Amino acid sequence: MADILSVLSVKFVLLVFLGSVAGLFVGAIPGLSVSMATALLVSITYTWQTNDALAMVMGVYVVGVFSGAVSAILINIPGAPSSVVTTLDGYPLARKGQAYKALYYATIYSFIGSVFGLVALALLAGPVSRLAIKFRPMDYFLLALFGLATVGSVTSKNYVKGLISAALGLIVSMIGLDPLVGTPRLTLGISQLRGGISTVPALVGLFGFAEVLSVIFDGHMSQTVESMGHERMSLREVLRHWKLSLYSSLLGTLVGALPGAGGPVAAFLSYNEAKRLIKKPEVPFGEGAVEGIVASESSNNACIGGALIPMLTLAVPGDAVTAIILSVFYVHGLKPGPMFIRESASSFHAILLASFIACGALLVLGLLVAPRISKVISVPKNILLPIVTVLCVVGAFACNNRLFDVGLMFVFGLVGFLMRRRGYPAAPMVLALVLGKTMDSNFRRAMALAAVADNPLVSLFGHPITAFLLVCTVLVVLSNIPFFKRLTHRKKA
Amino acid sequence: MKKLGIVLLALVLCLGSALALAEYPDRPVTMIIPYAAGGTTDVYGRTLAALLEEQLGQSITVVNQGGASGSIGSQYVYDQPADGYTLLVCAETMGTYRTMGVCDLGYDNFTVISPLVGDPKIIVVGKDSPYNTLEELLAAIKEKPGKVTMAHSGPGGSGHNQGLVLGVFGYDVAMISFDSGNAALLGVIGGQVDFTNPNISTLGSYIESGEVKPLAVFASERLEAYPDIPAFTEVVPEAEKYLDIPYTVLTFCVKAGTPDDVVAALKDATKTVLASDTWQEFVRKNAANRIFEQYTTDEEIKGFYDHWQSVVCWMQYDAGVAPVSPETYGIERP
Repeated sequence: MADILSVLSVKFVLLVFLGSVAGLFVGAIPGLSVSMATALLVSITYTWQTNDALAMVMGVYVVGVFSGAVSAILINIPGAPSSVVTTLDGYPLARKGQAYKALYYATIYSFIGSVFGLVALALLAGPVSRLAIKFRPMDYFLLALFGLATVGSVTSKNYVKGLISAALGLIVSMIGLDPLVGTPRLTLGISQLRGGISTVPALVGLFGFAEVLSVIFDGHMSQTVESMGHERMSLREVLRHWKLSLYSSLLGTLVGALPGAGGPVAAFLSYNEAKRLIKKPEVPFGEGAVEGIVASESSNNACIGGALIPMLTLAVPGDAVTAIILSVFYVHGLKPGPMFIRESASSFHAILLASFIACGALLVLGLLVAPRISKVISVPKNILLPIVTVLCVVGAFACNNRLFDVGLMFVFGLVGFLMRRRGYPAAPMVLALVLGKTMDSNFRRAMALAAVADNPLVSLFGHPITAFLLVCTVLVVLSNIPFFKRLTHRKKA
Repeated sequence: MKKLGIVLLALVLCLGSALALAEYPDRPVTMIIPYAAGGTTDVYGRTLAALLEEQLGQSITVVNQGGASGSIGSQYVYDQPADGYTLLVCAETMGTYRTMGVCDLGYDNFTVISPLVGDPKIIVVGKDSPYNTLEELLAAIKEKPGKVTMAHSGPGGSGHNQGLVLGVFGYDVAMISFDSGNAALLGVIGGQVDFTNPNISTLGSYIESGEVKPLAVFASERLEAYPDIPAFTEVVPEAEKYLDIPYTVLTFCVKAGTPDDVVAALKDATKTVLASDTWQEFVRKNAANRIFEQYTTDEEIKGFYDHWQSVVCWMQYDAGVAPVSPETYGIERP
């Protein structure tokens, strides 16, 4: 304990807080992402002391993941893929004039999720990383497939439309250099497509620009939201969902610890679980159920601690942000790996301490800002939309410094707009885009391994984790087929 | 009067451009890293940029422009004017873009300011592996051709290329592609793949923690930092011809056609940086190959890249990894 506190100084706390404020803004502004901000910080903090750099980066990370929910709730544009699920119930709630309530829940449960994940990091880094190593290529594929199978049922009343959206996303994710052969595919001879479709322009287009187009098309330009409710909430009332939150946090930590899956999968899985477990929410899911916000925000913030586990103990980043934090380590001469927590104890403590302080900052900033920022929902659309459009362009450009990505953003905006008009949800497409490359390469890797194994079938499916994931996936798909739905209903009756 | 004005304007412009040439750099410089932040290229590029800033007296903005094995960022640099204001730190994929069918760029399209470092690779197996020496591993490969699995960092990448050397000498291994060197290493630690050849810069602590058994340095010489690990050529001497080059090669370059005085200014500044204590210490800590000291004159540098390109491109083509024949680009067989 004394070791941990030796890192602590006024400067340290201030830097974490500064990072937190920065994280609040980049996370909440659609298009500006946390990974972008941390990448910028790598250059700024290059000459700093290691602990100072870590303090700032962790502040941005923890609060940035939370504040993706702010824009998701207020303007239906998630700040990052992991906040996509928050839009499902957050935005409907805001439209009913309860933006403050939605933000309050998001703040409280992001805090709980973050703390849960970080406690797991502090206490269970070893065992969790050993579990992560047990995941085979087939398991990563199945986990992603499971995520996509659930997403259809989560985001739309029409399961098939959800799956079609996911399939579209998968096709788009195949564009670029083949991960196993290394030659270009589906690039149509356009050299800029060789790099594949980045997530940010797609996300910003599908949610941000598509929203702008929809509002213009519907002609609701000057319409403001119905009266702002400012209902008083007792903490006891809000904390009623602690069981769901802990379960979601657990899922978030575990999924976060698996490299490549990360926040969006965790949020979708938790949301699906919440839907399964809570039969009678006060408000139906998708129309402003606070349980949806609880599940999504607890799990995506718990991913922070989860994603740090493989980064610190295996030097494999769990998501885009930890990949950049890894470079902060290398730049400062630190070597994450199996010996890291033992050998560089002081840096490990600095990370933990900075993260916990950032959790505090999250709570303070969230509660301070929520009542003020929730007024954004009442800003007339003819003022808000031009600003959103500019941010969409800036965000798409900034993600890889290419004008090409801005063009992509517009294309995705148009696609998203058309999908909306026909009732196809955009969320499965985003998730499929994030997961497609992993699915593709892991499935083919599993096949390559099976091809040279003595018994191909055992190599593919003969492991407990694989079998478990396979059963889960099959069950999700079956439970959504009308025939089986009728069957289970009849049994109950 | 009007004529005088034009003459004066022309004079001023000439003078201005002459001054600009004499004073490179007179405005901030951009350095493109064609990979995402966090990788080896990024880390070395940023270290170089920070030290180079002090020498050039202008700030250097490092921009990560990743994608398609670094070809997106490299193409961007190639599309900029050849004025020395857009620098590039690239990896070895530059030598194989054309034959892999990725894009039309090669080392010839750029002027190398200096090679930076190579990252040595080590052949490792998991701690529970039945193989304890390189001889045992090679014997097993001979015994069951195509059944022993090797994880590598990605198609056409350094780990893959080096693994192809095994095939040249009749060791038929099943190559399994992963998303990164670290992911390949985890495949071995998790017991899914038999062996891999990670960069020493990422491997260090795994040797100490005992999670992997190092069998050999995949090169023609042992490493200073690990004198007990034998070199691959001690067991397979005939591989010397393929292993006297590093397979991970970082290079600092500008677009070909950049004015000579700008190149000279960059070379001078870079020379000072590479000799500095900070750089030397950084390279030592990472146990990297010091190719920046090995190849310094223009002939040596050109000779090195030509040789590298010829060895690797032909090996890839012969193994069926590269779809385009190196002959198409006039690359001769080694």
